[in-house]
Amino acid sequence: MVRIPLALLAAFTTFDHAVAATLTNSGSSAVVVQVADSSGRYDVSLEPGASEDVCPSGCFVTLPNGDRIGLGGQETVDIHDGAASVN
Amino acid sequence: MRMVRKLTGGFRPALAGCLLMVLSLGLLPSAIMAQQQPPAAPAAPAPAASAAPNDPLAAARVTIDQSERQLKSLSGLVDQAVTDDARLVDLKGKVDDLGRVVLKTSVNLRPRLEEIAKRLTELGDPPKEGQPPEAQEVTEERNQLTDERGRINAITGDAENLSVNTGSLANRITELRRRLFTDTLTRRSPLTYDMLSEAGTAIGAEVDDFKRTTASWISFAWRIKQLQLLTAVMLSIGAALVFVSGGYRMLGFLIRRDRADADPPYISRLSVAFWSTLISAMALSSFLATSYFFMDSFNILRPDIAPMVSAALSIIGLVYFVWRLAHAVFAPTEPNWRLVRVSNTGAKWLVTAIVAMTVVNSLDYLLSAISVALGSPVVLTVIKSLVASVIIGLILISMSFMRPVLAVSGNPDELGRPWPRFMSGLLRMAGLGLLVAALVGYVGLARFVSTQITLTGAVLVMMYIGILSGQAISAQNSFAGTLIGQYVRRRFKLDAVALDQAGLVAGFGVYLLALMTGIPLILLSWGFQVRDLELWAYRLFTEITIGNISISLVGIFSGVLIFIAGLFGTRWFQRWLDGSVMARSHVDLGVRNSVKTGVGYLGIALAGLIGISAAGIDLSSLALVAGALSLGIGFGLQNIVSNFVSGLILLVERPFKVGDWVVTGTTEGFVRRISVRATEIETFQHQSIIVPNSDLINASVGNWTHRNRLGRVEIPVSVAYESDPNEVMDILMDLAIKHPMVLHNPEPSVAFMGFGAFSLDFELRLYLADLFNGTKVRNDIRIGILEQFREKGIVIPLPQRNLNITVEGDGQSLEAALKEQGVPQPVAEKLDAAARRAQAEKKPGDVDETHGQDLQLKRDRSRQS
Repeated sequence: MVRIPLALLAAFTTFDHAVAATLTNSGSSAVVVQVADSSGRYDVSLEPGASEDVCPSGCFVTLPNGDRIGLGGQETVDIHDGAASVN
Repeated sequence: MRMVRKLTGGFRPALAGCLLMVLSLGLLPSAIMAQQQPPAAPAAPAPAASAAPNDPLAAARVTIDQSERQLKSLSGLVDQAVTDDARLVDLKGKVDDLGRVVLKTSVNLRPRLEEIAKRLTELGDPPKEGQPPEAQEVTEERNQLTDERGRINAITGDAENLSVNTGSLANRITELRRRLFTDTLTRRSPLTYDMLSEAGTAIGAEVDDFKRTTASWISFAWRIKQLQLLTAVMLSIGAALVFVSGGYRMLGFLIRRDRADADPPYISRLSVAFWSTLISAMALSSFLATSYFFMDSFNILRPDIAPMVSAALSIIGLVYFVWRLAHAVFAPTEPNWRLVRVSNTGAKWLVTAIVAMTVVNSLDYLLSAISVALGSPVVLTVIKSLVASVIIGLILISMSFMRPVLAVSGNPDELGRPWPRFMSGLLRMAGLGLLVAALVGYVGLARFVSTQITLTGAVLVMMYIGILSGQAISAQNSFAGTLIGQYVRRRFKLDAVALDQAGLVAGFGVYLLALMTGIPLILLSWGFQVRDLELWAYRLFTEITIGNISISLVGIFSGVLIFIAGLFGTRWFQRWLDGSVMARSHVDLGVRNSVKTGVGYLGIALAGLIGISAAGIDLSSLALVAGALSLGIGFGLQNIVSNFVSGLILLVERPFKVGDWVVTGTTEGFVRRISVRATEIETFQHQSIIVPNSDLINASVGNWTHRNRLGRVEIPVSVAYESDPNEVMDILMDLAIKHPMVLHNPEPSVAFMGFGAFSLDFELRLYLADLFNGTKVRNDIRIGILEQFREKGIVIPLPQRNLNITVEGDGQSLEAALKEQGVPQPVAEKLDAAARRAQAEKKPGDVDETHGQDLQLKRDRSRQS
């Protein structure tokens, strides 16, 4: 009986509340993406497996494969071998 | 006291209205400014879908191009408006909107890009040399997709550039505004001869201009808009009559001062001050607003005259408001209604000075509004403000020499004492500061300060009165005396305590209203723009960032709301489950209670978790805290946690349920409640004993009614040795079998327990379906036994005691002694005879050591039946 609330607690703890767009590198090598927001342009480098929160109020990201995507500020971007999937 | 009740009747709506009025007065000057602004920038870009309804790329391209043009025009507008703060605020909003549009356009393109990428991956790379060629269609599709991808990237690239440019323009506007704010206050315009002569000619020109403009407007209005003018005047006079007569008729009793009342309570003084200011100022400002509205809607006002009229109307409202407020606070002619402790003369002079300052300040605003409307040179505004600042400075200095403080005797007619030193010092410093600042050339600063002294002062006083009213309402038991309090009591049928708490809430509401309205008004008068305040409020509610943590009030509020909703939902579900499902399924009461309690905990935990995540609090960061806390819990909350867990085990395992008859340690009684920490056991004497749950888990608990209520009761019976045991057993068995509540299976039985000291002991053992009937059954059977025994002549022996008396020596002395004690003759003789007999039987060697006559008592062992 005690386990049920504990399990629920654990389930909810994994619930991450997004406050910014999250870039995650799930590929095998480090990548560099260019981020442009109202404060200007800057590069974000991601080690394999690393993730970084960027631009809470929206920005543009240039991916390693040359694609440019606009982010509203709440997305999670998974970068894998230069391409991205956005959730 | 009746007066108080009437007066304090409705603070809340009154305060709201008053502050609204102040707000409207405060906003009028900004309305004037707004009218002088150049026409607004083009509206935000319209969706360009109409250009190419079927091609989202083309539509996006059109939007981006439009936005680019818009950004250019906005940039040009910013260059024009470098000195106009309000305009810059407006432009900043537009630039931000543009940035959002651009971002949204490119975000909308993203799904298509993903689709293309996915399809291209499916198609694979083009065949290399040596590999078999692929189908023509595949190549074509790949080329087309690659092309589209390139276009999307190009558009997004442009959008990116545009977005960065938008961001930098927004930053530039902010920088401009910041500089503007500091520059205006510190801009120096030294007083020179040239300036004075320029101002002299400008004044002449302005006066002529003003005359011409007003004359032409009046003739225009009279000739062309006569009907409208008259209608507008009639309508606004009608509206004013409605406001004034309606206000006075309905609320007049609130603002009349009772001259006969020598010492009205503070709360009535406050309320009269509040209402009299509020109602009259409201009536006037409504009249002014409706006048302006009618003149405006009938097109009587021309663009050149409208700002002047608006300024004139708003300063009339402002001056009247300050005048009423000053009269309300100082009550120059009615010392007993005064809110502050000043003398009569002091009150009169203070009112005069305050009103004079407001008039000067308002005139300054009116004249500068006229200057702006007529396009007069800036130097004129500077000179007017200089004069106004000098006059206000002089008034402040003269105020510092007044003697307003109530005389030591407390008689307001006497000449008062001077200001406290710091107050007079402050006034002199302020006045001198204004004079020096204005004369040295910092006219902007002097004007700003002098405006703040009157405007901020008035708002502060009003806020202060509001806060005092809040205090008065939340004072114990005072809310019940107010009209609203009485209404609330009647309407919601509250008792005294609840009403007092309602008063506390009402008082808090008044505070909140006073602060929430007063602070924005002060900020507005300090040069902040409405848009700034809106932005702040928006930020305050959506995102407050402290370091890395960002808190959102709306989030927290919605979290709390969701939690409360969850709580209510759980309660409802509990009731439904208990009352409908389980009751109809004939579930045992104890199980129902366990399930209900368990569901309750689960619901609260769920609601809490959902509420926390809805409030935007990252639970993973809480997990860290929980990890650190668990150590502390291990030590500090050990008992409580163990009790809680024990409580859950009790609910699940159910060694006993609510309603059971339990015995634990020294406690015996019925279980009344199993809660988080402890279980409540009610003894048969109706004493509630709270037993910690862990005690119930760790110690042995006896439960009479664990599986069912079946139980055995015993009735011990003793009969005399002369009775026939078989007959007794038959009687007992017969009685047991005949009783309707005694179970036949298991059978009742009679046990012959043993040979007692003076009785034969039996025990009748009965099984009952419900132990709770034990007392009744035992009573019935016992009565039956008694009746049967009497009928059959069976004796229930009483405890018996044999007394053996051994007399030594001659019986004569015993007889004498008994006679002396007054024992009747025959008894004494019998005893004597017995003694002699005993003497004769006694052997010579058996003589006791004791001398004379002894009573040797031999006590029989006795047993209670």
